[in-house]
Amino acid sequence: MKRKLALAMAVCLTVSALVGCGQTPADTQGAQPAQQESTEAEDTEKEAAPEEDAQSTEAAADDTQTSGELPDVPVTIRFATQSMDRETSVMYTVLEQFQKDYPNVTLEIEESPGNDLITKINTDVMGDNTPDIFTFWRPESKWNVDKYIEKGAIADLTDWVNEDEFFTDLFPEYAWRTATVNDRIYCIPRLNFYVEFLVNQEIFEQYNLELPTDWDKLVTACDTLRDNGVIPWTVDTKEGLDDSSRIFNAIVNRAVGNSKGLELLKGNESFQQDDVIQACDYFLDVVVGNGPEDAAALDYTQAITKYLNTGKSAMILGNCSQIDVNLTDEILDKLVALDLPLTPESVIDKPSLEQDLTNLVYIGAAGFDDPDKQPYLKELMKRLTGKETARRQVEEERSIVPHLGLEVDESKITDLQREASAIAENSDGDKWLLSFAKAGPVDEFRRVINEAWAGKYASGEELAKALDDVLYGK
Amino acid sequence: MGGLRYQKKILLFIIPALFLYILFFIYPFFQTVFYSFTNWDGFTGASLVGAKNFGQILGDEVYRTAVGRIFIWAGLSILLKVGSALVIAYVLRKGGKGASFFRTVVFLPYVISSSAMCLMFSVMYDKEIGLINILLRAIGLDSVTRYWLVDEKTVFYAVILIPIYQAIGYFFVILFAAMKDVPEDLYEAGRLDGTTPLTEFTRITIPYIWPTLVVCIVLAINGAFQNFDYIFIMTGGGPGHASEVPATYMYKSIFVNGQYGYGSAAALILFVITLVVTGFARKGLNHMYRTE
Repeated sequence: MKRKLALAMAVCLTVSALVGCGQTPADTQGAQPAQQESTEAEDTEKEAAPEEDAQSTEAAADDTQTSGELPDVPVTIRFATQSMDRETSVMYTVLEQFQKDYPNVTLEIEESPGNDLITKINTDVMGDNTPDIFTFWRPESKWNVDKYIEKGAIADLTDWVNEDEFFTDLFPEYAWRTATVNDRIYCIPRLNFYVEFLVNQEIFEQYNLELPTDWDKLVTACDTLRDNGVIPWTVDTKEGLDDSSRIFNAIVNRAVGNSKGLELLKGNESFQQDDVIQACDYFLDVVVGNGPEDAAALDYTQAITKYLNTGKSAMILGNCSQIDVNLTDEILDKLVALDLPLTPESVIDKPSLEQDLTNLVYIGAAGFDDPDKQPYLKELMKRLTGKETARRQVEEERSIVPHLGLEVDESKITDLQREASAIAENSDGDKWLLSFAKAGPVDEFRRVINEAWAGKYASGEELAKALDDVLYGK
Repeated sequence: MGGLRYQKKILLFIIPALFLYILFFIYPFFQTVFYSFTNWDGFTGASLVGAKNFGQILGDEVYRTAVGRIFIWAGLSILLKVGSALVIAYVLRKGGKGASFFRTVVFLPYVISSSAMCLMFSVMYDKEIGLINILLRAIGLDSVTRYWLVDEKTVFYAVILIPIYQAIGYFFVILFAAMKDVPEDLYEAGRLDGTTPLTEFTRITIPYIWPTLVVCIVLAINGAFQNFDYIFIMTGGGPGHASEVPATYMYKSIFVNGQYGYGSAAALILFVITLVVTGFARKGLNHMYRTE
């Protein structure tokens, strides 16, 4: 009897341990939104939902024109994205509305903070557990998407995009080009970015400085501001982030051209060429000692909050999607958007800036091949990338979107956004120099650039050699 | 009790835990050993490259410097973590007014999460508003103030101060419990023989709690060698590689650079170093005081 009892307990322990291990956080989290949705659905039938939100999200649903055609079968869809503020996120309201419209679908939302999404998707793809639908960066080798495609983890959407009228005249040519790999479309564009150059006009007036509309004025401004205790550049040089290399990229694009810059960062060309060394010299001229003292301990948001918003720093050059959302209303009035000037020796005639898609939506191959899931994945994709959602993201989140013919409420766009967007539209777009760089060398590249900001390199030659040591031929 | 039958019953209860241990520790360990000899990138098939990964890692100055740092960390852990806990435990052993309050206060930092502690200390280390620099200015040491997390000379020590400070409470609890077991008769006998408090501490308390102290020292070494989260949260191993430790090096190799084979080799080297050092430490320390 005792032996049987002992055996039974051992079996129970093992089984319960294995069952417990089989549960993932997504399983438990996914159940909660569905349960919450069903009780909330009952409550909203009784209360009136905020009119504007309801109209917007229903308009997003109407946009897709597929409701009513979807099979009424229970389906679970895993959606992975970066962490959202669930009270203000436009994307979250779209997901909520989707759940309300299709109560037979259990939407499991898997959020990861910031760049941790890359690790999460990498791990999922490696484990043959790709989410059914997820937001991610461009389909470039920097983000390992080439490996996802090689592994067959993400769906080829080419035929669907070519056949469905929803996508007609939705995006410009460059957006589809970015979403295409080897003539096949693997993702749908969602958000854009461009690098903007913003200057605090009030600080410049205070020190009788002309706005940096040419290179000499820029160098003079940096020197004068620094001598007067104002930090010229808002920047962070924290480990693993790319913000400190934006100025370097812009200068290289001007001094040697975007194509050559891409080859340099891929490690295919040496930095120890005269024109590249000259570019390194230009970079050192404007950055050495011109960032915050604690830049290495800050991320971009912290640097903007601590220095730009408080008027302790005068200029910023960076990704608009990271800058605009962190600016206070007070500083917005003082900032003006400019072209970063051409370098004295430049291969281009007019200033260019890095701009491209920054966020796209992918569908997992396994989910797309599932006949029950596919219609819902297509529907969700359309809601996430449609014009109505894009309009709300521009108006409510100050996002930049690639959509054609978007009608936005101008009163919700700041003057600064308008200025910066106009500059971006009139400028040639450069590819981000790290787009095709290898992960390991890129890490060392960031370190060298951060050291340059700190004044480790006395000349362009030294910097070029250091860059060669970490990138060339690696 | 019927020896063999009794052992079989025990085995039945051990099996579930043993199964989980094999599944989550032993099997992954041997997988790591295998992948350390490959160039696996996580997506495509793994090709054997022999000992190439190990050669590259051991030839990498960044890794060698990182290993040196964890030895420094281990030394400081023993001195400050275990040393402080030992002294505090001895002082509070005798009880008295406020003893239980101080016991709680000493243990409190240990219950705070590592990320909360890192956030708190990152503000404390700020040059302008940080508490540490404010105190330094208050006592006239303005020239010493700096951004502690930015200066390459101080960043590593600034970061490891946090886990060292936080874990004092943990070791205090262990050593306090061990000291409570020391029979009072020994102290009485000692007082009769005219021992001083210092002699009492070194000749009675330390030898009696020596096995527990050895465990604490080994745990301190192990913690220092394997610690990852504080460095990762505070600095990511930067600025440059000024606060890099083998754990963050391994993390970056695998999850940032996608070099799973290389990272597995780094993990294996760290495992071997930890095993050897803790093994020698335990053996060497155990020989110092042999108890009946």
